[in-house]
Amino acid sequence: MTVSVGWYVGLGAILFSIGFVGVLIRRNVLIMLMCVELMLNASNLTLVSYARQLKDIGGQVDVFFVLVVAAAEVVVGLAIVVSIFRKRLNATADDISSLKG
Amino acid sequence: MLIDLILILPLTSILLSLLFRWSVVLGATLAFFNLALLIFGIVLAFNIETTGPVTAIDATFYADSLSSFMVIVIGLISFLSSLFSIRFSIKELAKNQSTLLEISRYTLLTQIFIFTMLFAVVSSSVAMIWVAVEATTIATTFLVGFRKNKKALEASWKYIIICSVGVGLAFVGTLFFYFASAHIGGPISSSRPVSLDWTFLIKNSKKLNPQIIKFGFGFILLGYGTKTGLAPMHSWLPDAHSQAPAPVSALMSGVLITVAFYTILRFKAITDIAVGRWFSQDLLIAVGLLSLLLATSLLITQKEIKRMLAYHSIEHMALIALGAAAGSEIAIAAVLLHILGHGLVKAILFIASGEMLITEGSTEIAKLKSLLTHKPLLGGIFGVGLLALLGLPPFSLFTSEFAMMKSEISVGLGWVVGISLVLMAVIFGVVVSHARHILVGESSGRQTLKTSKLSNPIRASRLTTTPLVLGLILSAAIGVVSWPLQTLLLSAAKVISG
Repeated sequence: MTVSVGWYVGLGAILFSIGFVGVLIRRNVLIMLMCVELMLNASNLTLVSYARQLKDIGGQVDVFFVLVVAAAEVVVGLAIVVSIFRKRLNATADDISSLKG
Repeated sequence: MLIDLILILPLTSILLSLLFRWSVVLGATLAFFNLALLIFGIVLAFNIETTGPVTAIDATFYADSLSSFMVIVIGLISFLSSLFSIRFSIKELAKNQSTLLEISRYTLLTQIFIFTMLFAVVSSSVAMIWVAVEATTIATTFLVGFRKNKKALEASWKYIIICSVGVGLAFVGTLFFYFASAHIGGPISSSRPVSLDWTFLIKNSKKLNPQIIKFGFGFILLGYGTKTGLAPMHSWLPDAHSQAPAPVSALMSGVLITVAFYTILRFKAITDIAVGRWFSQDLLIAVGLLSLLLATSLLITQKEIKRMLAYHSIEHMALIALGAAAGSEIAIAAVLLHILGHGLVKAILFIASGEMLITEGSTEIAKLKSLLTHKPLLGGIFGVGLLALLGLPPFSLFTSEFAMMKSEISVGLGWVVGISLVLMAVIFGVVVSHARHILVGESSGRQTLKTSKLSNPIRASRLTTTPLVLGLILSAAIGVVSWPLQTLLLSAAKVISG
Protein backbone atom coordinates (compact mmCIF):
# COMPACT_ATOMS: atom_id res chain seq x y z
CA MET A 1 0.00 0.00 0.00
CA THR A 2 1.39 3.39 -0.95
CA VAL A 3 0.82 6.46 1.14
CA SER A 4 -1.01 8.99 -1.02
CA VAL A 5 -0.40 12.73 -0.88
CA GLY A 6 -3.71 13.25 0.93
CA TRP A 7 -2.31 11.63 4.07
CA TYR A 8 0.68 13.96 4.12
CA VAL A 9 -1.50 16.99 3.63
CA GLY A 10 -3.85 15.74 6.34
CA LEU A 11 -0.94 15.26 8.73
CA GLY A 12 0.28 18.75 7.85
CA ALA A 13 -3.13 20.23 8.60
CA ILE A 14 -3.34 18.43 11.97
CA LEU A 15 0.16 19.53 12.99
CA PHE A 16 -0.57 23.10 11.92
CA SER A 17 -3.77 23.19 13.97
CA ILE A 18 -1.97 21.79 17.03
CA GLY A 19 0.67 24.49 16.64
CA PHE A 20 -1.81 27.31 16.11
CA VAL A 21 -4.05 26.32 19.03
CA GLY A 22 -0.94 25.82 21.16
CA VAL A 23 0.29 29.37 20.56
CA LEU A 24 -3.14 30.72 21.45
CA ILE A 25 -3.81 28.78 24.65
CA ARG A 26 -0.44 27.78 26.16
CA ARG A 27 1.25 30.27 28.48
CA ASN A 28 4.70 28.71 28.80
CA VAL A 29 7.04 30.73 26.56
CA LEU A 30 9.09 27.70 25.51
CA ILE A 31 6.02 25.71 24.49
CA MET A 32 4.71 28.73 22.57
CA LEU A 33 7.96 28.88 20.64
CA MET A 34 7.77 25.16 19.88
CA CYS A 35 4.20 25.59 18.66
CA VAL A 36 5.28 28.31 16.20
CA GLU A 37 7.95 25.95 14.94
CA LEU A 38 5.34 23.21 14.57
CA MET A 39 3.19 25.52 12.42
CA LEU A 40 6.08 26.35 10.10
CA ASN A 41 7.15 22.74 9.72
CA ALA A 42 3.60 21.55 9.12
CA SER A 43 3.33 24.03 6.24
CA ASN A 44 6.71 22.83 5.02
CA LEU A 45 5.53 19.23 4.98
CA THR A 46 2.53 20.28 2.90
CA LEU A 47 4.76 22.18 0.48
CA VAL A 48 7.11 19.26 -0.05
CA SER A 49 4.31 16.73 -0.51
CA TYR A 50 2.57 18.90 -3.12
CA ALA A 51 5.89 19.52 -4.85
CA ARG A 52 6.60 15.80 -4.98
CA GLN A 53 3.14 14.96 -6.26
CA LEU A 54 3.42 17.56 -9.00
CA LYS A 55 7.05 16.58 -9.71
CA ASP A 56 8.05 20.22 -9.23
CA ILE A 57 11.69 20.31 -8.17
CA GLY A 58 11.44 24.05 -7.40
CA GLY A 59 9.02 23.55 -4.53
CA GLN A 60 11.25 20.84 -3.09
CA VAL A 61 14.25 23.15 -3.20
CA ASP A 62 12.34 26.01 -1.58
CA VAL A 63 11.68 23.73 1.40
CA PHE A 64 15.37 23.94 2.32
CA PHE A 65 15.33 27.71 2.42
CA VAL A 66 12.20 27.66 4.55
CA LEU A 67 13.81 25.13 6.91
CA VAL A 68 16.88 27.34 7.29
CA VAL A 69 14.97 30.50 8.22
CA ALA A 70 12.58 28.56 10.47
CA ALA A 71 15.55 27.08 12.33
CA ALA A 72 17.27 30.46 12.57
CA GLU A 73 14.06 31.96 13.90
CA VAL A 74 13.75 29.40 16.67
CA VAL A 75 17.39 30.03 17.67
CA VAL A 76 16.73 33.75 17.96
CA GLY A 77 13.52 33.05 19.88
CA LEU A 78 15.34 30.75 22.29
CA ALA A 79 18.01 33.37 22.88
CA ILE A 80 15.32 35.88 23.85
CA VAL A 81 13.64 33.32 26.12
CA VAL A 82 16.96 32.60 27.85
CA SER A 83 17.52 36.33 28.42
CA ILE A 84 14.02 36.65 29.88
CA PHE A 85 14.63 33.70 32.22
CA ARG A 86 17.87 35.34 33.31
CA LYS A 87 16.01 38.48 34.33
CA ARG A 88 13.34 36.58 36.26
CA LEU A 89 12.68 32.97 37.08
CA ASN A 90 9.60 31.01 36.02
CA ALA A 91 8.39 33.43 33.39
CA THR A 92 5.09 32.70 31.69
CA ALA A 93 3.66 34.81 28.92
CA ASP A 94 1.28 36.41 31.42
CA ASP A 95 4.21 37.75 33.45
CA ILE A 96 5.73 39.39 30.40
CA SER A 97 3.23 42.20 30.31
CA SER A 98 4.76 45.48 31.38
CA LEU A 99 4.14 47.02 27.93
CA LYS A 100 0.49 47.79 27.43
CA GLY A 101 -1.74 50.07 25.39
CA MET B 1 23.72 43.42 -13.83
CA LEU B 2 22.20 46.27 -11.83
CA ILE B 3 20.27 43.85 -9.63
CA ASP B 4 23.52 42.01 -8.88
CA LEU B 5 25.09 45.31 -7.84
CA ILE B 6 22.11 46.21 -5.67
CA LEU B 7 22.53 42.92 -3.80
CA ILE B 8 26.34 42.90 -3.74
CA LEU B 9 26.48 46.37 -2.20
CA PRO B 10 24.73 45.48 1.10
CA LEU B 11 26.58 42.15 1.14
CA THR B 12 29.83 44.11 1.08
CA SER B 13 28.54 46.23 3.94
CA ILE B 14 27.74 43.07 5.89
CA LEU B 15 31.24 41.72 5.19
CA LEU B 16 32.87 45.00 6.26
CA SER B 17 30.92 45.14 9.51
CA LEU B 18 31.83 41.50 10.16
CA LEU B 19 35.54 42.08 9.58
CA PHE B 20 36.02 45.40 11.34
CA ARG B 21 34.96 46.67 14.72
CA TRP B 22 32.81 49.76 14.61
CA SER B 23 34.58 53.06 14.05
CA VAL B 24 33.47 56.41 12.67
CA VAL B 25 35.20 55.49 9.40
CA LEU B 26 33.23 52.25 9.13
CA GLY B 27 29.99 54.06 9.95
CA ALA B 28 30.69 56.69 7.28
CA THR B 29 31.58 53.99 4.72
CA LEU B 30 28.32 52.16 5.38
CA ALA B 31 26.37 55.42 5.06
CA PHE B 32 28.12 56.04 1.75
CA PHE B 33 27.22 52.52 0.57
CA ASN B 34 23.59 53.12 1.44
CA LEU B 35 23.68 56.37 -0.53
CA ALA B 36 25.10 54.38 -3.46
CA LEU B 37 22.18 51.99 -3.03
CA LEU B 38 19.77 54.89 -3.46
CA ILE B 39 21.59 56.01 -6.62
CA PHE B 40 21.60 52.46 -8.05
CA GLY B 41 17.87 52.30 -7.33
CA ILE B 42 17.30 55.47 -9.36
CA VAL B 43 19.47 54.16 -12.23
CA LEU B 44 17.57 50.86 -12.12
CA ALA B 45 14.28 52.74 -12.36
CA PHE B 46 15.49 54.67 -15.43
CA ASN B 47 16.76 51.43 -16.98
CA ILE B 48 13.46 49.64 -16.51
CA GLU B 49 11.59 52.67 -17.84
CA THR B 50 13.47 52.40 -21.15
CA THR B 51 14.05 48.66 -21.58
CA GLY B 52 11.41 46.95 -19.44
CA PRO B 53 11.80 44.60 -16.45
CA VAL B 54 15.26 43.15 -15.84
CA THR B 55 16.28 39.75 -14.45
CA ALA B 56 19.46 38.31 -12.96
CA ILE B 57 20.97 34.87 -12.25
CA ASP B 58 18.67 32.77 -14.43
CA ALA B 59 15.61 34.86 -13.48
CA THR B 60 16.02 34.10 -9.75
CA PHE B 61 15.90 37.86 -9.30
CA TYR B 62 13.44 40.03 -11.14
CA ALA B 63 12.88 43.76 -10.99
CA ASP B 64 10.10 45.80 -12.54
CA SER B 65 9.19 49.45 -11.87
CA LEU B 66 7.56 48.49 -8.58
CA SER B 67 10.71 46.73 -7.33
CA SER B 68 12.92 49.64 -8.39
CA PHE B 69 10.61 52.06 -6.59
CA MET B 70 10.92 50.01 -3.40
CA VAL B 71 14.73 49.89 -3.81
CA ILE B 72 14.72 53.70 -3.96
CA VAL B 73 12.62 53.93 -0.77
CA ILE B 74 14.86 51.41 1.04
CA GLY B 75 18.01 53.22 -0.11
CA LEU B 76 16.73 56.62 0.99
CA ILE B 77 15.64 55.54 4.48
CA SER B 78 18.73 53.37 4.99
CA PHE B 79 20.94 56.33 4.14
CA LEU B 80 19.17 58.61 6.66
CA SER B 81 19.21 55.90 9.30
CA SER B 82 22.88 55.03 8.82
CA LEU B 83 23.86 58.69 9.11
CA PHE B 84 22.13 58.92 12.46
CA SER B 85 23.61 55.56 13.46
CA ILE B 86 27.04 57.25 13.51
CA ARG B 87 25.85 59.87 16.00
CA PHE B 88 23.97 57.22 18.00
CA SER B 89 27.02 54.94 18.23
CA ILE B 90 29.38 57.75 19.25
CA LYS B 91 27.00 58.79 22.05
CA GLU B 92 26.44 55.20 23.21
CA LEU B 93 30.19 54.65 23.50
CA ALA B 94 30.84 58.03 25.12
CA LYS B 95 28.20 57.42 27.78
CA ASN B 96 29.42 53.85 28.32
CA GLN B 97 25.91 52.55 27.70
CA SER B 98 27.16 49.98 25.22
CA THR B 99 30.47 48.28 24.59
CA LEU B 100 32.27 48.48 21.26
CA LEU B 101 31.33 44.86 20.62
CA GLU B 102 27.65 45.59 21.13
CA ILE B 103 27.81 48.55 18.74
CA SER B 104 29.63 46.41 16.16
CA ARG B 105 26.93 43.75 16.46
CA TYR B 106 24.24 46.40 16.16
CA THR B 107 25.86 47.69 12.95
CA LEU B 108 26.13 44.19 11.49
CA LEU B 109 22.50 43.32 12.24
CA THR B 110 21.28 46.62 10.76
CA GLN B 111 23.12 45.89 7.52
CA ILE B 112 21.71 42.34 7.40
CA PHE B 113 18.28 43.86 7.97
CA ILE B 114 18.71 46.20 4.98
CA PHE B 115 19.96 43.32 2.82
CA THR B 116 16.96 41.10 3.62
CA MET B 117 14.53 43.88 2.69
CA LEU B 118 16.30 44.39 -0.66
CA PHE B 119 16.23 40.64 -1.21
CA ALA B 120 12.48 40.65 -0.66
CA VAL B 121 11.77 43.32 -3.27
CA VAL B 122 13.94 41.88 -6.07
CA SER B 123 13.11 38.17 -5.66
CA SER B 124 11.03 36.67 -8.43
CA SER B 125 9.68 33.68 -6.50
CA VAL B 126 6.97 34.30 -3.92
CA ALA B 127 8.53 31.60 -1.73
CA MET B 128 11.82 33.52 -1.73
CA ILE B 129 9.95 36.71 -0.83
CA TRP B 130 8.52 34.81 2.13
CA VAL B 131 11.99 33.62 3.15
CA ALA B 132 13.28 37.20 2.96
CA VAL B 133 10.41 38.62 5.03
CA GLU B 134 10.95 35.95 7.69
CA ALA B 135 14.67 36.79 7.61
CA THR B 136 13.88 40.45 8.38
CA THR B 137 12.23 39.24 11.61
CA ILE B 138 15.33 37.26 12.53
CA ALA B 139 17.66 40.19 11.84
CA THR B 140 15.59 42.71 13.79
CA THR B 141 14.65 40.75 16.91
CA PHE B 142 18.01 41.39 18.58
CA LEU B 143 17.88 45.01 17.44
CA VAL B 144 14.53 45.45 19.19
CA GLY B 145 16.05 43.88 22.32
CA PHE B 146 19.19 46.03 22.03
CA ARG B 147 18.78 47.61 25.48
CA LYS B 148 18.52 44.16 27.10
CA ASN B 149 16.31 45.52 29.89
CA LYS B 150 12.95 44.11 30.92
CA LYS B 151 10.89 46.16 28.50
CA ALA B 152 13.18 45.64 25.53
CA LEU B 153 13.25 41.87 26.06
CA GLU B 154 9.50 41.82 26.36
CA ALA B 155 9.11 43.81 23.15
CA SER B 156 11.44 41.47 21.25
CA TRP B 157 9.62 38.42 22.62
CA LYS B 158 6.27 39.78 21.49
CA TYR B 159 7.79 40.76 18.18
CA ILE B 160 9.22 37.36 17.32
CA ILE B 161 6.20 35.34 18.46
CA ILE B 162 3.51 37.49 16.83
CA CYS B 163 5.46 38.03 13.62
CA SER B 164 6.41 34.36 13.32
CA VAL B 165 2.80 33.28 13.71
CA GLY B 166 1.76 35.93 11.18
CA VAL B 167 4.43 35.05 8.68
CA GLY B 168 3.60 31.37 9.25
CA LEU B 169 0.02 32.14 8.16
CA ALA B 170 1.41 33.97 5.13
CA PHE B 171 3.30 30.79 4.26
CA VAL B 172 0.04 28.86 4.26
CA GLY B 173 -1.34 31.52 1.91
CA THR B 174 1.68 31.06 -0.35
CA LEU B 175 0.97 27.30 -0.31
CA PHE B 176 -2.55 27.91 -1.60
CA PHE B 177 -1.18 29.98 -4.47
CA TYR B 178 1.41 27.28 -5.17
CA PHE B 179 -1.24 24.59 -5.19
CA ALA B 180 -3.36 26.57 -7.65
CA SER B 181 -0.39 27.40 -9.84
CA ALA B 182 1.31 23.99 -9.95
CA HIS B 183 -1.93 22.43 -11.17
CA ILE B 184 -1.85 24.43 -14.39
CA GLY B 185 1.80 23.45 -14.90
CA GLY B 186 4.73 25.60 -15.93
CA PRO B 187 6.70 25.42 -19.17
CA ILE B 188 8.72 22.20 -18.86
CA SER B 189 11.48 23.47 -21.14
CA SER B 190 12.63 26.21 -18.75
CA SER B 191 15.88 25.49 -16.90
CA ARG B 192 14.36 26.27 -13.51
CA PRO B 193 10.87 25.62 -12.16
CA VAL B 194 8.63 28.63 -12.34
CA SER B 195 5.31 27.75 -10.70
CA LEU B 196 6.09 30.00 -7.72
CA ASP B 197 7.41 32.90 -9.83
CA TRP B 198 5.35 36.04 -9.59
CA THR B 199 5.64 36.65 -13.36
CA PHE B 200 4.27 33.16 -14.05
CA LEU B 201 1.47 33.60 -11.53
CA ILE B 202 0.36 36.96 -12.92
CA LYS B 203 0.54 35.76 -16.54
CA ASN B 204 -1.63 32.73 -15.81
CA SER B 205 -3.79 34.24 -13.11
CA LYS B 206 -6.95 33.78 -15.20
CA LYS B 207 -6.42 30.01 -15.13
CA LEU B 208 -5.98 29.80 -11.34
CA ASN B 209 -8.80 28.24 -9.36
CA PRO B 210 -10.65 31.23 -7.80
CA GLN B 211 -11.81 29.32 -4.70
CA ILE B 212 -8.27 28.36 -3.74
CA ILE B 213 -6.99 31.88 -4.47
CA LYS B 214 -9.67 33.34 -2.18
CA PHE B 215 -8.44 31.23 0.73
CA GLY B 216 -4.86 32.03 -0.20
CA PHE B 217 -5.34 35.79 -0.26
CA GLY B 218 -7.15 35.72 3.09
CA PHE B 219 -4.14 34.04 4.68
CA ILE B 220 -1.72 36.35 2.84
CA LEU B 221 -3.51 39.49 4.04
CA LEU B 222 -3.67 38.27 7.63
CA GLY B 223 -0.07 37.01 7.55
CA TYR B 224 1.79 39.81 5.84
CA GLY B 225 -0.72 42.20 7.42
CA THR B 226 0.82 41.22 10.76
CA LYS B 227 4.19 42.40 9.55
CA THR B 228 2.59 45.54 8.08
CA GLY B 229 1.08 46.35 11.47
CA LEU B 230 -2.53 46.01 10.37
CA ALA B 231 -5.22 44.93 12.84
CA PRO B 232 -5.95 42.43 14.31
CA MET B 233 -2.29 41.34 14.69
CA HIS B 234 -0.74 44.78 15.15
CA SER B 235 0.15 44.60 18.85
CA TRP B 236 3.87 43.93 18.35
CA LEU B 237 4.36 47.21 16.48
CA PRO B 238 4.13 49.89 19.19
CA ASP B 239 6.31 47.87 21.56
CA ALA B 240 8.98 47.04 19.00
CA HIS B 241 9.08 50.57 17.57
CA SER B 242 9.34 52.20 20.97
CA GLN B 243 12.00 49.85 22.38
CA ALA B 244 14.33 49.64 19.38
CA PRO B 245 17.12 52.23 19.04
CA ALA B 246 15.96 55.26 17.04
CA PRO B 247 17.81 54.44 13.76
CA VAL B 248 16.27 50.96 13.80
CA SER B 249 12.79 52.34 14.55
CA ALA B 250 13.27 54.62 11.56
CA LEU B 251 14.07 51.65 9.33
CA MET B 252 11.27 49.48 10.73
CA SER B 253 8.61 52.12 10.52
CA GLY B 254 9.95 53.70 7.33
CA VAL B 255 10.45 50.63 5.16
CA LEU B 256 10.02 47.25 6.88
CA ILE B 257 6.25 47.52 7.25
CA THR B 258 5.86 48.84 3.71
CA VAL B 259 7.99 46.01 2.29
CA ALA B 260 5.43 43.65 3.86
CA PHE B 261 2.66 45.69 2.25
CA TYR B 262 4.50 45.52 -1.09
CA THR B 263 4.14 41.73 -0.86
CA ILE B 264 0.40 42.07 -0.22
CA LEU B 265 0.16 44.29 -3.32
CA ARG B 266 1.86 41.62 -5.45
CA PHE B 267 -0.62 38.99 -4.30
CA LYS B 268 -3.51 41.42 -4.70
CA ALA B 269 -2.64 41.82 -8.38
CA ILE B 270 -2.95 38.04 -8.91
CA THR B 271 -6.13 37.79 -6.82
CA ASP B 272 -7.80 40.69 -8.66
CA ILE B 273 -7.49 38.89 -11.99
CA ALA B 274 -8.29 35.41 -10.67
CA VAL B 275 -11.27 36.31 -8.48
CA GLY B 276 -12.26 39.89 -9.29
CA ARG B 277 -11.43 43.16 -7.62
CA TRP B 278 -14.39 43.13 -5.22
CA PHE B 279 -12.83 40.36 -3.11
CA SER B 280 -9.55 42.05 -2.16
CA GLN B 281 -11.43 45.36 -1.92
CA ASP B 282 -13.82 44.07 0.76
CA LEU B 283 -11.03 42.46 2.78
CA LEU B 284 -8.74 45.50 2.59
CA ILE B 285 -11.54 47.88 3.62
CA ALA B 286 -12.38 45.70 6.64
CA VAL B 287 -8.77 45.44 7.75
CA GLY B 288 -8.03 49.10 6.99
CA LEU B 289 -11.01 50.54 8.89
CA LEU B 290 -10.40 48.26 11.88
CA SER B 291 -6.74 49.34 12.04
CA LEU B 292 -7.64 53.00 11.68
CA LEU B 293 -10.17 52.75 14.52
CA LEU B 294 -7.68 50.94 16.77
CA ALA B 295 -4.87 53.38 16.02
CA THR B 296 -7.11 56.36 16.78
CA SER B 297 -8.46 55.00 20.04
CA LEU B 298 -5.02 53.98 21.33
CA LEU B 299 -3.25 57.11 20.13
CA ILE B 300 -5.26 59.24 22.55
CA THR B 301 -3.70 57.71 25.66
CA GLN B 302 -0.04 57.69 24.61
CA LYS B 303 2.50 59.27 26.92
CA GLU B 304 5.68 58.63 25.00
CA ILE B 305 6.78 60.07 21.66
CA LYS B 306 8.04 56.88 20.04
CA ARG B 307 4.90 54.95 20.97
CA MET B 308 2.80 57.81 19.61
CA LEU B 309 4.74 57.66 16.35
CA ALA B 310 4.28 53.87 16.25
CA TYR B 311 0.49 54.22 16.43
CA HIS B 312 0.81 56.76 13.66
CA SER B 313 2.43 54.04 11.58
CA ILE B 314 -0.61 51.82 12.10
CA GLU B 315 -2.83 54.73 11.07
CA HIS B 316 -0.88 55.31 7.87
CA MET B 317 -0.76 51.61 7.00
CA ALA B 318 -4.54 51.59 7.41
CA LEU B 319 -4.82 54.55 5.00
CA ILE B 320 -2.58 52.73 2.53
CA ALA B 321 -4.76 49.60 2.80
CA LEU B 322 -7.86 51.70 2.11
CA GLY B 323 -6.14 53.33 -0.86
CA ALA B 324 -5.15 49.93 -2.22
CA ALA B 325 -8.77 48.83 -1.80
CA ALA B 326 -9.80 51.41 -4.40
CA GLY B 327 -7.46 49.58 -6.76
CA SER B 328 -7.38 51.92 -9.77
CA GLU B 329 -4.08 52.92 -11.32
CA ILE B 330 -4.17 56.40 -9.77
CA ALA B 331 -5.04 54.90 -6.38
CA ILE B 332 -2.07 52.51 -6.45
CA ALA B 333 0.24 55.33 -7.60
CA ALA B 334 -1.00 57.37 -4.62
CA VAL B 335 -0.43 54.39 -2.33
CA LEU B 336 3.18 54.17 -3.53
CA LEU B 337 3.68 57.92 -3.10
CA HIS B 338 2.29 57.53 0.42
CA ILE B 339 4.75 54.70 1.09
CA LEU B 340 7.63 57.00 0.08
CA GLY B 341 6.30 60.08 1.90
CA HIS B 342 5.39 58.22 5.08
CA GLY B 343 8.74 56.41 5.14
CA LEU B 344 10.67 59.65 4.77
CA VAL B 345 8.71 61.68 7.32
CA LYS B 346 8.49 58.84 9.83
CA ALA B 347 12.24 58.21 9.60
CA ILE B 348 12.85 61.93 10.19
CA LEU B 349 10.58 61.96 13.26
CA PHE B 350 12.09 58.81 14.76
CA ILE B 351 15.59 60.18 14.25
CA ALA B 352 14.52 63.50 15.81
CA SER B 353 13.13 61.59 18.79
CA GLY B 354 16.44 59.72 19.05
CA GLU B 355 18.23 63.07 19.11
CA MET B 356 15.84 64.24 21.85
CA LEU B 357 16.74 61.18 23.89
CA ILE B 358 20.41 62.19 23.55
CA THR B 359 19.97 65.90 24.29
CA GLU B 360 16.98 65.89 26.70
CA GLY B 361 17.45 62.46 28.23
CA SER B 362 13.85 61.40 27.68
CA THR B 363 11.17 60.86 25.06
CA GLU B 364 8.25 61.00 27.49
CA ILE B 365 5.81 63.70 26.49
CA ALA B 366 5.29 64.91 30.09
CA LYS B 367 9.02 65.47 30.62
CA LEU B 368 9.58 67.42 27.42
CA LYS B 369 8.56 71.04 27.50
CA SER B 370 9.16 74.19 25.48
CA LEU B 371 11.57 72.42 23.20
CA LEU B 372 11.15 75.20 20.67
CA THR B 373 12.71 77.82 22.98
CA HIS B 374 15.82 75.95 24.09
CA LYS B 375 16.39 73.77 21.02
CA PRO B 376 14.82 75.81 18.19
CA LEU B 377 16.18 73.74 15.30
CA LEU B 378 15.39 70.29 16.71
CA GLY B 379 12.01 71.47 17.98
CA GLY B 380 11.30 73.06 14.60
CA ILE B 381 12.16 69.84 12.75
CA PHE B 382 9.94 67.83 15.08
CA GLY B 383 7.05 70.28 14.75
CA VAL B 384 7.24 70.54 10.97
CA GLY B 385 7.66 66.76 10.74
CA LEU B 386 4.47 66.24 12.74
CA LEU B 387 2.59 68.66 10.49
CA ALA B 388 3.87 66.73 7.45
CA LEU B 389 2.77 63.47 9.09
CA LEU B 390 -0.70 64.84 9.75
CA GLY B 391 -1.03 65.40 6.02
CA LEU B 392 -0.85 69.17 5.73
CA PRO B 393 0.19 70.73 2.44
CA PRO B 394 2.76 71.23 0.91
CA PHE B 395 4.14 67.88 2.08
CA SER B 396 3.78 64.79 -0.07
CA LEU B 397 1.51 63.00 2.42
CA PHE B 398 -1.17 65.58 1.65
CA THR B 399 -0.89 64.92 -2.08
CA SER B 400 -1.06 61.15 -1.66
CA GLU B 401 -3.89 61.17 0.90
CA PHE B 402 -5.88 63.53 -1.31
CA ALA B 403 -5.33 61.35 -4.38
CA MET B 404 -6.19 58.14 -2.50
CA MET B 405 -9.43 59.60 -1.14
CA LYS B 406 -10.39 60.99 -4.54
CA SER B 407 -10.01 57.58 -6.15
CA GLU B 408 -11.86 55.91 -3.26
CA ILE B 409 -14.80 58.24 -3.91
CA SER B 410 -14.63 57.58 -7.65
CA VAL B 411 -15.15 53.83 -7.11
CA GLY B 412 -18.10 54.47 -4.80
CA LEU B 413 -16.34 54.22 -1.46
CA GLY B 414 -17.37 57.65 -0.24
CA TRP B 415 -18.51 56.24 3.11
CA VAL B 416 -15.01 54.87 3.74
CA VAL B 417 -13.55 58.33 3.08
CA GLY B 418 -16.11 59.84 5.46
CA ILE B 419 -15.22 57.48 8.31
CA SER B 420 -11.48 57.89 7.80
CA LEU B 421 -11.76 61.69 7.70
CA VAL B 422 -13.58 61.71 11.05
CA LEU B 423 -10.96 59.44 12.63
CA MET B 424 -8.13 61.48 11.13
CA ALA B 425 -9.64 64.64 12.60
CA VAL B 426 -9.54 63.05 16.05
CA ILE B 427 -5.90 62.07 15.53
CA PHE B 428 -5.15 65.61 14.36
CA GLY B 429 -6.54 67.07 17.58
CA VAL B 430 -4.66 64.64 19.81
CA VAL B 431 -1.32 65.10 18.07
CA VAL B 432 -1.61 68.89 17.98
CA SER B 433 -2.24 69.00 21.73
CA HIS B 434 0.76 66.70 22.39
CA ALA B 435 2.93 68.75 20.04
CA ARG B 436 1.90 72.01 21.71
CA HIS B 437 2.97 70.59 25.05
CA ILE B 438 6.34 69.38 23.76
CA LEU B 439 7.17 72.44 21.69
CA VAL B 440 5.80 75.46 23.53
CA GLY B 441 4.51 74.09 26.87
CA GLU B 442 5.44 76.43 29.73
CA SER B 443 8.23 75.09 31.89
CA SER B 444 6.65 75.37 35.32
CA GLY B 445 7.85 73.79 38.55
CA ARG B 446 11.32 73.04 39.78
CA GLN B 447 11.67 69.64 38.13
CA THR B 448 11.50 70.86 34.56
CA LEU B 449 13.87 73.67 35.33
CA LYS B 450 16.36 71.19 36.74
CA THR B 451 16.16 68.86 33.77
CA SER B 452 16.48 71.66 31.28
CA LYS B 453 19.52 72.98 33.10
CA LEU B 454 21.05 69.53 33.05
CA SER B 455 20.34 68.88 29.43
CA ASN B 456 21.15 72.25 27.97
CA PRO B 457 24.90 71.66 27.53
CA ILE B 458 24.23 68.82 25.07
CA ARG B 459 23.39 70.43 21.77
CA ALA B 460 21.66 68.85 18.85
CA SER B 461 24.31 67.71 16.39
CA ARG B 462 24.57 69.21 12.90
CA LEU B 463 25.18 65.68 11.66
CA THR B 464 21.61 64.89 12.68
CA THR B 465 19.78 68.09 11.94
CA THR B 466 21.13 68.87 8.45
CA PRO B 467 19.94 65.63 6.80
CA LEU B 468 16.61 65.96 8.60
CA VAL B 469 16.04 69.49 7.28
CA LEU B 470 17.01 68.32 3.78
CA GLY B 471 14.63 65.37 4.16
CA LEU B 472 11.74 67.66 5.08
CA ILE B 473 12.52 69.91 2.09
CA LEU B 474 12.57 66.80 -0.12
CA SER B 475 9.21 65.71 1.26
CA ALA B 476 7.73 69.13 0.49
CA ALA B 477 9.33 69.13 -2.96
CA ILE B 478 7.81 65.76 -3.80
CA GLY B 479 4.46 67.10 -2.65
CA VAL B 480 4.62 70.17 -4.89
CA VAL B 481 6.37 68.95 -8.04
CA SER B 482 6.17 65.23 -8.56
CA TRP B 483 7.19 65.18 -12.22
CA PRO B 484 10.30 62.98 -12.08
CA LEU B 485 8.42 60.56 -9.87
CA GLN B 486 5.13 60.62 -11.71
CA THR B 487 6.28 58.39 -14.58
CA LEU B 488 7.83 55.91 -12.17
CA LEU B 489 4.80 55.90 -9.87
CA LEU B 490 2.36 55.34 -12.73
CA SER B 491 4.37 52.56 -14.37
CA ALA B 492 4.85 50.90 -10.96
CA ALA B 493 1.11 51.20 -10.34
CA LYS B 494 0.42 49.60 -13.73
CA VAL B 495 2.28 46.49 -12.51
CA ILE B 496 -0.38 46.07 -9.82
CA SER B 497 -3.57 47.46 -11.35
CA GLY B 498 -2.95 45.79 -14.73
